[in-house]
Amino acid sequence: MSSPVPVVEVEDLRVTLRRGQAEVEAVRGVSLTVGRGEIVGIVGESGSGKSVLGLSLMALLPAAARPVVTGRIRILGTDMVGTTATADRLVRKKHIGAVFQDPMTSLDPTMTIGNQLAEVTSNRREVVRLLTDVGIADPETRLGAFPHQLSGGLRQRVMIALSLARNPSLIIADEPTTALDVTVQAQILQLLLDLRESRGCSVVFVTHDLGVAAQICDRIAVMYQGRIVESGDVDTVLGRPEHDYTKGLLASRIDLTTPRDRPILSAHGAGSGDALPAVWPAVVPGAPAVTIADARRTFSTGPFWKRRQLEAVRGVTLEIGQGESMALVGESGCGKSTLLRLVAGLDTPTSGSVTVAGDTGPQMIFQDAGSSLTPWLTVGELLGERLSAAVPGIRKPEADRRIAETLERVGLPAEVSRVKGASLSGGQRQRVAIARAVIVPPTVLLCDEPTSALDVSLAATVLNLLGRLRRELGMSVLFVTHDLAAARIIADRIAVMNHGRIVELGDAETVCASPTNDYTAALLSAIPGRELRQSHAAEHGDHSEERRA
Amino acid sequence: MSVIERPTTGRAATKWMRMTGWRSHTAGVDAAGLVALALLVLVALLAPVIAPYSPILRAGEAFLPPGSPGHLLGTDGVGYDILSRMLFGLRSSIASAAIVITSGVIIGGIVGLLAGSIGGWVDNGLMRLTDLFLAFPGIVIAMTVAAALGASFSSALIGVAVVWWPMYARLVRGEVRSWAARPHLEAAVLAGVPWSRRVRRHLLPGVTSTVVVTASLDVGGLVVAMSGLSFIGLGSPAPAPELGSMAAQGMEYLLQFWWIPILPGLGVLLLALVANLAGDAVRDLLSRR
Repeated sequence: MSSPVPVVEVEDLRVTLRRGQAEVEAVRGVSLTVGRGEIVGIVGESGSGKSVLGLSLMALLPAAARPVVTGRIRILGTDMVGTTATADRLVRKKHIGAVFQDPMTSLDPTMTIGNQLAEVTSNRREVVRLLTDVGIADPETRLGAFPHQLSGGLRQRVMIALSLARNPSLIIADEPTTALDVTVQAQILQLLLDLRESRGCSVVFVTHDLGVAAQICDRIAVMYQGRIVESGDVDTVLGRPEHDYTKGLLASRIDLTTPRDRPILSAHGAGSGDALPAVWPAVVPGAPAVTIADARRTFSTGPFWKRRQLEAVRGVTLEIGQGESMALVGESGCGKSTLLRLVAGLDTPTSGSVTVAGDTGPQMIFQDAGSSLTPWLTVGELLGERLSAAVPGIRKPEADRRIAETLERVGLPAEVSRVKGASLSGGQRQRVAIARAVIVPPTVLLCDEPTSALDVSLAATVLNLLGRLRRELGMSVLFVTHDLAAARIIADRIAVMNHGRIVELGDAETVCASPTNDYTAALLSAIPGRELRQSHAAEHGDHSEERRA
Repeated sequence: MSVIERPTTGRAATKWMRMTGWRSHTAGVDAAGLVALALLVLVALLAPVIAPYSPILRAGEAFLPPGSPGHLLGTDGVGYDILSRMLFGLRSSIASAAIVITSGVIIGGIVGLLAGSIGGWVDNGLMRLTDLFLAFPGIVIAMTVAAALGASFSSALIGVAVVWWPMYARLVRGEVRSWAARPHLEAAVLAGVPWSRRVRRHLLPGVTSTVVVTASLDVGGLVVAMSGLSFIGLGSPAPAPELGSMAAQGMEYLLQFWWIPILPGLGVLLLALVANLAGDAVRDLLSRR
């Protein structure tokens, strides 16, 4: 059935949100159409207004922000702007399904999934059919489960089942796979594609990940500062981007073909002005800096009468040379973070040994840089503290000089030392964390997913920064990540971890190009955006030319 | 590159309120509460100066009603001046609240800090001890302790202090635990910051605001509890001026000379109310910071 009425029609939409006294124009004149059965991606970095656009479509903007919406949104011909809340709810109920980033917070933790689904369809057979549709094996027994008893992938499937229950014409998915492991992400994307085939519903897919967008969308709209700067067919927009912003996004995107002998060329964003060499100088690893010998870590959980042993790390042997960069890759729960904490000395192995050479000890940067900075201390105090702990009796002028020097080294102005972490942006906070770690150069720098919470362009600049610093300071790096593409860029060697063991260890390029382990191969094939890579491969050469100029 | 987020420009008044974190709709009540408490404290401090008579010497005829010449709030059954006695009673109420809260914060703070930051069996031991105190009705323990020590101002203080600290211990421990779970403490460990400095610089400042808020909200309750002890005769022995004992001693005249018990009762009410308003104000101030 082809209908002349598009599922979504947005015309000159403007949304202003208020936070305290400040007004933010989050969406500034957006027009967008989504046809029947179409999957349209809205791509942008944090703060681009993509999520606000998604929420506007559902008329679910937070009331606390006192949103002012002008322009027009029509869902299947029904206006959504300037209507009553009741009318909006009817439209949502009839036509729209929603899938959010974190199914743990969008599902009710106190209700079984069976009961939650029963709220939208009272027919038990229908509930079971929905769960089967979203690919949940053995749905009958899953009905009695609570959200926390399910894995992240299963929870997201339940969320999708919920959104499908009313047989909507439109699903709005806001970063539905961001919190998921890469292999699970691939399954969820496939599920959405299958559902489009079988049910013919349209999808508005909000994401920051160009690879994911390339894999699933028919058309994409690139958002920047509240506007759509470029939109069109996926292949056109990503293959031959017109707008500088899109080009920048594509350039800072890391995939398995990104050259690893030189810094990533990010065309914009904070830190793109860092002085970087054209090609990385080669690193020759020296004597072992970190030696891990058959390390095991077992956690006991539960009360003593039914204590269970959880083996997080099951016998890992690994050696990292001085100056070498090693990436530890694996999915959530594989034990990579536990191993990192063992090396950091924040935890001790149950058996086996972890030795770090040198006397400066390891330093670590965390995934969430913001929470690793003490909120009430200034950057200068935090750096000064590290300095006086490592260099006892250091004088104030000398300390100030080294703080300024280190801040400059990580690409921050010296006056940052006077502010607290909260007034800095995410990328700046991560730089501060790096500055604290390297103000006294450690033997080994431990990195716990330092880029996974950052936008692509920021992630690229942080990877560049780490690449430069480790060469300048001769540090070893142990980089924990779930992202093989980032691992390939930052590391000389990659160790793939699964179920507490290292299943593959080798030269970064070799591991990515010809994995010998099935699990590594599965991880590699699950990286989204292979289409993008292929359609884009020819383009790659002249991209770097362009940016050199 | 702009590094520091500067507050957006605005009218001076709203800017000041934003800087100090005052929400406009409660700012008036908050300010009134703080000013009133400041006034009461000032009056209490100046009691010896502004009280027209000595609180423990006969000042005139007995049973003079409020508004009598020379006796603004009248006199009681002995002929003491009620206003003078209430001013001194206010003084001892505020002083005892300050002493009990300070001791509670210090003892509870140390216990909670040790329990929360050391953990393990120290945590278990200290928290079970705390639970033990919390398991009994507070006022009963306070009465027992005060009675065992003999009726005096200091035994009433000790009695209440004994039951007041466990709440702070719990509170501080909980706060310490939640801050300790954040990576910034692990980052400080890796940076080589010694334990004592970690506790002082990376943990305590996060705990203070919650403790200050709770403490300021506690003042009202404490005033009532102390007056209660004094009312049942566990405070300073007569004729010491205390609001609770004044009300108790005046009870027999309730029907003929209502002002003798009612006025000190109203004094307790006023002080507790003002203390609660000021406590709310402190909470509003700190919650926005």
